[in-house]
Formats: sequence, structure tokens, C-alpha cells
Amino acid sequence: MTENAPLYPKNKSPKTLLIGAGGVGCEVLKNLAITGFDNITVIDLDHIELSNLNRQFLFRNKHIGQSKALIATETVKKMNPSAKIIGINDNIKSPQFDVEWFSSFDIVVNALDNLGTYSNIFHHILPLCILLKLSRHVNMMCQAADIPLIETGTAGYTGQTSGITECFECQPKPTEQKVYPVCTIRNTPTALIHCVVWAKDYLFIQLFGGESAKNKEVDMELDQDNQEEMAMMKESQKLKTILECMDSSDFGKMIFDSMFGNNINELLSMEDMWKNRTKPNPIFYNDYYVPNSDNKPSESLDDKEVLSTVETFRLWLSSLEKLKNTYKDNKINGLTFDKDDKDALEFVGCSANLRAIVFGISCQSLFQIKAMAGNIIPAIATTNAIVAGVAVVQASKIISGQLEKCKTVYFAYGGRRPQFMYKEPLLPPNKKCTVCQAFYYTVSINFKLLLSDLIALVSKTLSKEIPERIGEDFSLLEGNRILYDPDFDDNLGKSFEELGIKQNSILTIEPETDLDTVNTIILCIVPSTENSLEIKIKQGNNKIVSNQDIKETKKRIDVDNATNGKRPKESKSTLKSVDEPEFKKAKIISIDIPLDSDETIIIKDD
Amino acid sequence: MTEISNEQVSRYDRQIRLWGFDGQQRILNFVILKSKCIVSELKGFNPTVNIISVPQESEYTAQFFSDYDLVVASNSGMSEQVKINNVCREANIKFISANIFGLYGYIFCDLLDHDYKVEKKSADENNPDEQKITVEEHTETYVNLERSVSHDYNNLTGRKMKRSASPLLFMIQGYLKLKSDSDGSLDKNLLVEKMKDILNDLFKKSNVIENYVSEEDIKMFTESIDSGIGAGNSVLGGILAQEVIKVISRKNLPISNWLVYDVLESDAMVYRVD
Repeated sequence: MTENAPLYPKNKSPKTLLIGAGGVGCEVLKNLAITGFDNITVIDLDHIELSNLNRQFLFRNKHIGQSKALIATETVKKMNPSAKIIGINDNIKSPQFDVEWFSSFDIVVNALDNLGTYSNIFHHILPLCILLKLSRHVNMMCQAADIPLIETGTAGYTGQTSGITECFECQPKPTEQKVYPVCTIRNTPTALIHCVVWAKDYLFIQLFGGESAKNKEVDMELDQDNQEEMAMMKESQKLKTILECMDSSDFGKMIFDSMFGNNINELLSMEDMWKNRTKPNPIFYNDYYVPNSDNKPSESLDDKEVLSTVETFRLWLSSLEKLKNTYKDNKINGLTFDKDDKDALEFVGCSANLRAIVFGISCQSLFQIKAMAGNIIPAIATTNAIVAGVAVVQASKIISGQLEKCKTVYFAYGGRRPQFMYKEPLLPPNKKCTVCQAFYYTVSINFKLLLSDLIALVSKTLSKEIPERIGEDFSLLEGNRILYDPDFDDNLGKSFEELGIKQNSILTIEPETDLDTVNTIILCIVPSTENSLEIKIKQGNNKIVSNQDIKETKKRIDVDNATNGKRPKESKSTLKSVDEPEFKKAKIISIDIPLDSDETIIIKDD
Repeated sequence: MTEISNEQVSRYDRQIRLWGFDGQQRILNFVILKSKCIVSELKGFNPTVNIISVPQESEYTAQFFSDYDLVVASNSGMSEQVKINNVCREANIKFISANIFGLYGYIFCDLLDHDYKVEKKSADENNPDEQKITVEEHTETYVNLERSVSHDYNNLTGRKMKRSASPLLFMIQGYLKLKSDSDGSLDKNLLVEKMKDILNDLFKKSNVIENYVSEEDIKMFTESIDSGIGAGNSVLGGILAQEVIKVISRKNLPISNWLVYDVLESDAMVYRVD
């Protein structure tokens, strides 16, 4: 038990940003509203589907097809009419949600559920495995804006709620997907999942994918001496030839015979491959095609049942036909596999099952294949309620200034356990974390200016401002794309517009020197119409850290203070304090750059 | 048993993946007595579920409960709950009691002799991409509330006592007793003193070491009673619903037999007291 301090928000209406109005999001929104958070913005891109209704309790049948964020807002407003709740139907990565927008909130709750799959759902108490880029983005924005973030997540029966201090990226995350050897997928499948991966990631993409997706396959570097790999290449080339006959009435037959018949014979000819393996049995179109009949699948197929080979064949044929027609209108971008698209699921499911038949593997129902192909995360209302409840308890603590009482909480399911919840105190940040230990700067950019302007600004100011972090030589990247490094100056004459740098782009500066600290510097881009570049410096990382870290932080702040106002001699730049509350330790470095001019940069000194 | 319709498969897709079609079918055919519910609101939530509300009876009989598979009781005092639990036992009906007082909640289960299955997944040695599922069958024997609250602790001390029952569990049992003793008219000012009396009495009868619950603990407990936060209810309600699902689907061991929940600490401890 703990001392009961009042849990009412100190700040009367903390401005809360909730990302996601799905399973956990619905619960968090309701909990926030009934716990007294009365200024909430909720953002979600999704629309409501029938399979959401078992747990996303703010939605009803009549709302299917409508925006999750808007309907959730409408429903919760009825529970707490005095609360100010704003729903936004958009992607959190959209450019307008930049660092300045994030800064306008007091706390962020990330409820992008369905982030993880978990192969062994039962009897596990570990946090979830898969974390998408989106969560990384939110974490980085919160770091940049210095806003506390609560992460939530569920995977079946297990869940997690984290508080802050240690950031989302401080602990390495497991890789996203299980990887299968390409030869197993293409030549020697032994489990249904291999056939599903083949159908979804190879066949579907080769038939209906966009141009760039198709070409990836060709780019694969193959070992000419390797028989197996050569077979795969031949197969891809053959498929390309067939694809040119898409309008032919024989198209279905050609694909079927090639994929499940001739290619298999081809494989069988490589006798070495089958020395220790069960040989596959090729099947052909005419084995199942009934002349003088429509060969249409039965109307009353049950997704939960394993279909007969003939039914599988017919469903395969009809789904191929439908996908072909959708694809014709969309050839350049192609189709992407979506588990909720009936035609795509039927085609992938039937293709996988037909391949399974060829290789003597047990078939499965479409319902089961959907989970394998679509990374479906089992989800129920109860876990969401628990995770969301814990998250809002933590949020209340943060808002009432009791951060030290926050915990990372894991929910455990099943078994004879002495406790249902496991918790950890918030850990200090990982000093090597490239996200939370980085220095963040906000850069206002007129996108007509050139990259060279930014490089000049960085070397004239930041290199002097924080020499312990950045040397004379540095490279500038956007994600993995190198925009500039000392040996690569091709982009210097290009404008930000030409380089595709937009509002909300995140650039990183990596020094060339081997300094013994994390030396990433992150630039968050906000738009400006001025003929100038402006860097707002927000330093000292106002994050609350554990005792053992305080010394370190103080040292860092001292260094910052030492440079404050100490104008680098070589530079004419101006450092001035700004009174914006959200940038308490902010300084602004600005330079004016005349547009359409070849003049050297004039650094204004006021 | 009614068959699962295609509409239901879509609606329940994500949870069928957890407990299978048989589990879902058992759930759809299950009848739970909810002692207090907002019927119309819940109906809107899921129109395929039948919810009937019945007025609270002054006398519960085995006949009255016999239409139900499980009784979930909340919001009543100790003696009333003991009564309902005993009537349920008579009719061979499973009983769960749960409530939250301020920042502290509990769940108690008397599931009679409960049969359940545990699925164990392991990778197939010959084919690591296929999973082998083995199913173990177990039976857990539960006791009724009356017996559980008169458990003999044999003056255990230290870690052994801590593992048997936490101070919070006693405070909850004490408060439940207080609720039925005081006819709903609990005087705030006398709460701490009354709780102390009830707990001392309980400790004597059950051979619990003196002062196992400190006065400070009691003060914290009683002070919180009017200051709960909605999010805490969400957590306890979620756990309760999940346990009901375990009971119905007969998959995994439900709470055996007490869970006590501390909202601020995010503690949800399970104790077996029989």
C-alpha cells in the first residue's frame, strides 16, 4: 500500500493527446473523461469495422464505415458533456502534426493497439514483440517536444503500460517478422505457413503488385552456380511471360498449370533436392476443371471449414478473375495484400492450400489462414480495459506531479501465479539511446531555400554551440537517406522542396568524429515563410531522471549554460533568449538569406 | 446449443482466435445473473446478447438461481454474500463476488470443483515452423466464502504470513463485514475505530498475529473510500470479465480464490485461502 496523495490534476485541465481510438484507445478515452481529464484531443486514421465491435465499445453497428476518432469523441462527449474533446480523423504522421503541435500538449497517451503479435500468447508475461515505425515516430516527437508519453499495448491476454523517463527506444526491440529461408518458401515448403508466405509475398505480388514491388524480385542477387536459386529465377521469368497474357481467357489455366504443375515438375527434375525430402505431386487445371459447367464456387462456403480440392480450385479461379479486374484499373501502383479484402484473402488462402496439396501439407480453413497471412492479433475487451485503466492511473500520477510513483506495469494471464500484475520502477534512460539522449532542435525552414543554407547554418553555429557533440565534419541524414556528408555534396544546390523535405521531416546530424557520447543531433522541421532559417535550441533535456543520473544531467546543463551567451568569435550569429513557455531554455539562432541570390550568406547580428 | 452465425464470426473474430469456436459457443450459451446492470445500454453495445434484469430479492432461494450458470455478486455486505454463496452451492452454481472500495478492490471465487484445460504450445522438433499443441486437464477445488473468511492462520509470521494473506485482504474482509453490520449507515468518523474492532475480532478468531494490519493502513484504506478513480474500476472490471470468460470457456485456471487490487500501486495479488 502507498500513501494516498490526491490524484486530481494539479493543472486544472491538462491538455491530453490520445493517439489511437481502437481497442485500447476507446477505453483510455472513456477513462480519461471519467477521471477528470477534460481537454482531450484524439486522433485516429481508421474507420470502424464489424470485427472491432467485440471490444471497441464506443462504436455500434450503425457506425460501421465511419471515422473512429469522430465517433469515439461523439460517444464520450455524452458521458462527460463538459469535457472539451476534439476528434481528428488523420494520420499522426501527417505533416501538420509537427513538433510545435506536439508541444501544445501536457501529456501524450499512445494507444496504437494491435502493434504486436505474440506467438505464445498464453503463459507469458513479457511485453509485446512488434513495435511499428509509428510508435517510434510518436516517441521521437514526444522527445523533441519534451512531453511525457505513456505507451500502451496489448497482445491477446498480455499487456503493458509504460511511463516515461526511459524512452521507448532505450531497450532494443525484437525484430518485426519471422524470416524464412527463401529456398524453403520457393522450393521446399514443409509447413502451411511456408505456403501462405509464398502465396502472399511471392505469387500475389508477382501477379498484382506494383511495378516497383515486382522489380524487387528481379534485383535479387542470385548465385549462378546454385541450382535451387537458378530454378527460382527461371520461374519468375516464366511468370512474367504469362503475365503478358492477362487478357487471355486461358489466363487462369496458364497460371495454374505453371504454378502448381510445370514448376513442380521442374523442381522434381532436380533430383538432389529430393534425396531426403518427400517429393511433391504436381496438379493441373484439367484435373479439376469440369467442361460444360460454370466451375463457379458454391454460394454457401463456410470460412471455418477446410474446403475440398475442387472447391478450393473453383474459389481460386473466381478470386483470380476478380483481382484481375481490380488490378487492371490500377496497374502502376498495383494491389497490396489486405487480409480484410475478401478477394485477396480468398486468392492467397486458396493458392496456399493448393500448394500445400502439392507438397503433401495439411490444408487449413480461410479463417485460420487469415490469421497467418494477416498477422492478426487476438484481442478482447477485457485486456484493453485493464491496460487502459492502468495507463490512465499512471497518467493521473504524472499530471499530479507524482512521476516518481509511476510504474511500468505488465499484466500476466493464467497459471497459478501469485500476482496478476508485474511492475518495474521507471528506469533511467539508456545513456546510449540515440533517441532520448540526442539533442533536439526545431528548425523553421522556408522550403525554397537550399540545403547548402542549412549546412552553412549548422557548421557556423551548432558546431560551435555544442562542440562536444559535433565536430567540423558531419553528415546530414533523413532516416537512412544521406542528404549530405563531407564527401557527398551533390545535393547542396537543391532546395528543400526538391529534396522532398517537408513540414514534420526529421533530419539527423551525425558527426564524423568518434566522440565518446551519443552524439546524434535531431532537427525537427517546421515551415516558415520568412527568407530565413531559424533554429530553436531546446536543451538540457528537462526530463526527470533518477538519482544516479542527476549528476550527469547537471553536468550537461552546466555545459549548456557555459555556452549560453558566449558568442563564438568566428561567427556573427546571434543568440538570444526567448520567453516562450514551452521553450524555457530556448535560444534562437537566425540568419537571413536573400532568396534567388548568389550572395554569400549574411548572418544578421542584432 | 445454438450455432455461431457468420455475423458472429466477424464480430468475435479477434477473440475466437484466443479461445476457439468451442469456447465462443460456450460463452454464447452461458447464462449469468448480473445483480446490477444497465440493460438498455448494454443491449445497444451488443444486440446479439440477451440481457435480463431482475429486481433484487430479499430472500434468495436455490430455485431462483437455478436458471443461471454463474452468479456474480457485488455491492453487498459479507453476510448477504455468504448467504447467496451458500444458496448457490446448494443449487450447484458457481459464485463470484467482486467490488472496489475507493482505491482498493477484490475478487472472490467459489467455483465448486472446476474442471479446466490448459493448452501448451511447443515447437515441433522435426518441423520448427509447425506448433505442437498439447492439452492438459485439471480440476481445482474451491471453498465457500464462509469457510474462506474463517481460515486458521496458525499465528504465522514474516514471509509465510505475507504469502498467505496481505493486510489489504483483511481490510477488505473487515470492510465487507462492516457493510453488513451497519445497515448501510457508515459513520465516517467512526470508520477507523469500527474497522479496528472488527479486525481485532477477526484476528483473534483466525489466529492472525496481533497488529498485522497497522492503524496507518486502516486510515489509508478508509480515507480512500470516497476518492476512487474511474480508471481503477476499469482495471478490476476487466480482470473480473476475464475471469468469467475463463470460467465459462473452461480454459486456464481462474482466480483461486482471492484477488486483491491496489489501484495506485498497480498490485493485483492472488491468495489461496481455504
